[in-house]
Amino acid sequence: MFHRMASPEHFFAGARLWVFWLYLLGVTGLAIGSAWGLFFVPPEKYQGDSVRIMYLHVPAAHLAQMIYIAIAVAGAIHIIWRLKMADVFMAAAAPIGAITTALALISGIMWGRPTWGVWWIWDARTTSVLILFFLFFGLVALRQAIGRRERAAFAVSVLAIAGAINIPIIKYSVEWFTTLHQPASIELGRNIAIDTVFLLPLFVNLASLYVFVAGVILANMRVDLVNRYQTTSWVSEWFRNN
Amino acid sequence: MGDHGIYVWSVYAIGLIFLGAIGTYPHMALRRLKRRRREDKEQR
Amino acid sequence: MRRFAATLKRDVLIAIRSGVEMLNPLAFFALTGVVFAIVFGSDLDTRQISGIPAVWTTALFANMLAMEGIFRRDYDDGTLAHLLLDKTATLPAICAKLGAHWLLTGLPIGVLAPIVGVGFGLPPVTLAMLMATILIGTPALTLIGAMGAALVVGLGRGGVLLTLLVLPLYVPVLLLGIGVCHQFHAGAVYTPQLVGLFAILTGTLTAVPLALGPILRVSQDR
Repeated sequence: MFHRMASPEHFFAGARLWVFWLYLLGVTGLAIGSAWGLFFVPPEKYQGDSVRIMYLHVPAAHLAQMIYIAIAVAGAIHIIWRLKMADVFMAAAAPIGAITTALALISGIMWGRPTWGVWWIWDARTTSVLILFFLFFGLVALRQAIGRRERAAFAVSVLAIAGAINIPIIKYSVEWFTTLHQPASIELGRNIAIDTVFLLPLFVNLASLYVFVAGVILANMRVDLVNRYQTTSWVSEWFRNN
Repeated sequence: MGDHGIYVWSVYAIGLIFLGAIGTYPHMALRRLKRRRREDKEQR
Repeated sequence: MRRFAATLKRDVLIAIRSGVEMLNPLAFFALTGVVFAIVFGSDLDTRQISGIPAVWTTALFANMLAMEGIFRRDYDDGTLAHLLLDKTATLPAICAKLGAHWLLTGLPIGVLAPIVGVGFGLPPVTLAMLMATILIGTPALTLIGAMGAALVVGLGRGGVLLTLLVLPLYVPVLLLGIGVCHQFHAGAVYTPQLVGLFAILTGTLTAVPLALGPILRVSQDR
């Protein structure tokens, strides 16, 4: 099956149904999880109603990192095995990663203000997510700047891997920079044990966002495939049938 | 939701816009590709 | 080894013969540092505390501005294609180019750093530490920057793009370098940050020269 899926033509045809079901499942799940978090969970003892932001913020932040890791792995696969689909994946996932990271950052800012009284803190987590955003942006910009597809694919792979090495180093360096330099005034919700009541909708949204983003990336890959293989017979045939 | 309502609702509004945008983009792009192909055919 | 020495000598000679162009990053460093020293006001404590990050950040920007040109001339006139053709010559030539680039930017910036730092009222021992960390940090910056420069070489308007690609990768070096100086200035333990700085230097020193060959080879595919 994997062998078949590595061929653009089979992938394009097979992904269509996947996109449909992933979208359906993801959107329904997100609707259920968000409604649950917004209307059926009681306000939290310390954070009050602002805890409801968590149901979007935590999944977005988690997805942002997972998308980056996936892109870096795809980059390694592309460099080692020259697999074309790995590059198609990188091209499709990078803008999605940028937007997911932006959502995580914005929701983090909006959560920080009511709960800690500040919009932004320069701690290891916030800094690394912000850098992650610029890395995603760099991936998109680099691909756009390089005209030749082969060269762009290689360059983006290298940048993705370099960035993946960079993120944990940033976490450590910020931790050493801030904790030793000025005692952290706020622990980001680390000491607060969260009750299961609050966690269930979180899991629903987390899983649903995974599913939805997987569907979106697959859909983006299909668009990219049509663009790349415009001149081939299977794309022409697909156009004729639609 | 009291004081926090504005923060909660704006986060979910932004989330809806962002996710809606990335969700619809590929379908619009495919449709645009189809239309362009059709126009090319008609010109020829 | 002969290849290494020849390329090193050639790059340094080209820079020296280009005259004032060689001094541009240094002038940028000195000027921007002076501007910061002027705008930070006259309160000694603020000047000292913000002086360290100001000098370090300025050094980083000066390095980054110089990075863009490291492969450009050789790419344009075909020397790079020549170096890449002979696979045994690629690695020594790349190492020599990196070395020459650091000798012409990182080293003078480091030497100039204490002089710029005087403007912030920093005591001599802190200035010495500032110079030391910049001298340890700039080779790492040059290596990381060279990777970015190799990715964008030959593209029009590569400068802004290079900044975008390289700056996120520069952040740890910057934070650790400033961290060492701050800790040292405050009389606190600075070994963890210093070890981290050395670790990044060793890591980039081993990985980047080897990665540059394939990256530059792909850039030849025009």
